[in-house]
Amino acid sequence: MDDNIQLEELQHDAIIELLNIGMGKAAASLSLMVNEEVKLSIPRLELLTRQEAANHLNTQPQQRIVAIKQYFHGPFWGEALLLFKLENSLELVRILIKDKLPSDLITELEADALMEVGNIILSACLSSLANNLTQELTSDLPLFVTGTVVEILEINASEKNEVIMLLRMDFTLQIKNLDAYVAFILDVPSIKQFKSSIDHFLGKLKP
Amino acid sequence: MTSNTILVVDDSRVSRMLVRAIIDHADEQIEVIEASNGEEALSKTKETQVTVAILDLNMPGMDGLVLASKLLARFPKAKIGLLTANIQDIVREKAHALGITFIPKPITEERILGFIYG
Repeated sequence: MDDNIQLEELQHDAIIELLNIGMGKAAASLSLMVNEEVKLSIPRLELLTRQEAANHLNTQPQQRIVAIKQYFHGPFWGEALLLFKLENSLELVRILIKDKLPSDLITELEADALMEVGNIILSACLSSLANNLTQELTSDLPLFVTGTVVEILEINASEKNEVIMLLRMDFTLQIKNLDAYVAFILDVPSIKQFKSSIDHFLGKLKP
Repeated sequence: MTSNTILVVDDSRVSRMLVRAIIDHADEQIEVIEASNGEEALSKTKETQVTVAILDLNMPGMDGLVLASKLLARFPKAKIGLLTANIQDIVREKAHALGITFIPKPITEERILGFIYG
């Protein structure tokens, strides 16, 4: 693996902490939307191939899942993903629009509602990251995608061994027993830029 | 057209519906004009006087900040809010520089009514 993308312990710690803060903001936003506590896992950061990332994101490769995908750009760039099981998606929409919009519109509004949830969660996390790094990140419009994780990550034969950075954090709505997870994927050139941003951030912390 | 005309622009139909439901619940007399992008918003408000506008930031075509500047040129006294999930400091600063209010998503009754009546 390219030595330039390996992380020192302090860089790793800083990324985990920034992701923790970002997901804390995202969880607060989600909690406000569903009026329920959102439990967060410890963030995980791994350098692995795209195929390995797919295996990590879903241990059942043929299972169809739902994803809200948002490409982001700036000093570093990548894909932000909100992923959850297909059977959870309508339940999430029900929780969100309960008592607010007519229930007969739930199926019709599913994709739109989930894109809005994805946009709010992913943007909260990315915005927090950008604020802490004092940089600007811009995002494309969110995309609603269903398929296997390989299809969602758009892994083709030439890319499956390409190394990426995978940042992942799971969250749970306990009362509804609904699990979902957020992932950020950066390719090698972006990882190098991200490391520079992290070094700049750490540099400001030194006395 | 009454003086209480609120323009709601968001490419998310759910977001527009949520904002409209909050406004309707607060005051049924308020007229709400919905648009899914900036061009549609400008076209739908050619013949009207907008007093309040609630604009999403990230939309197809022009973004909410560009739309806000065009609306302010047409309706200098309008109260404009940028309703967005993009809570970066730089976005807040851009909204502030334009003289419009930053409203973070998610959409809540408190945030929407606080902006309209605050």
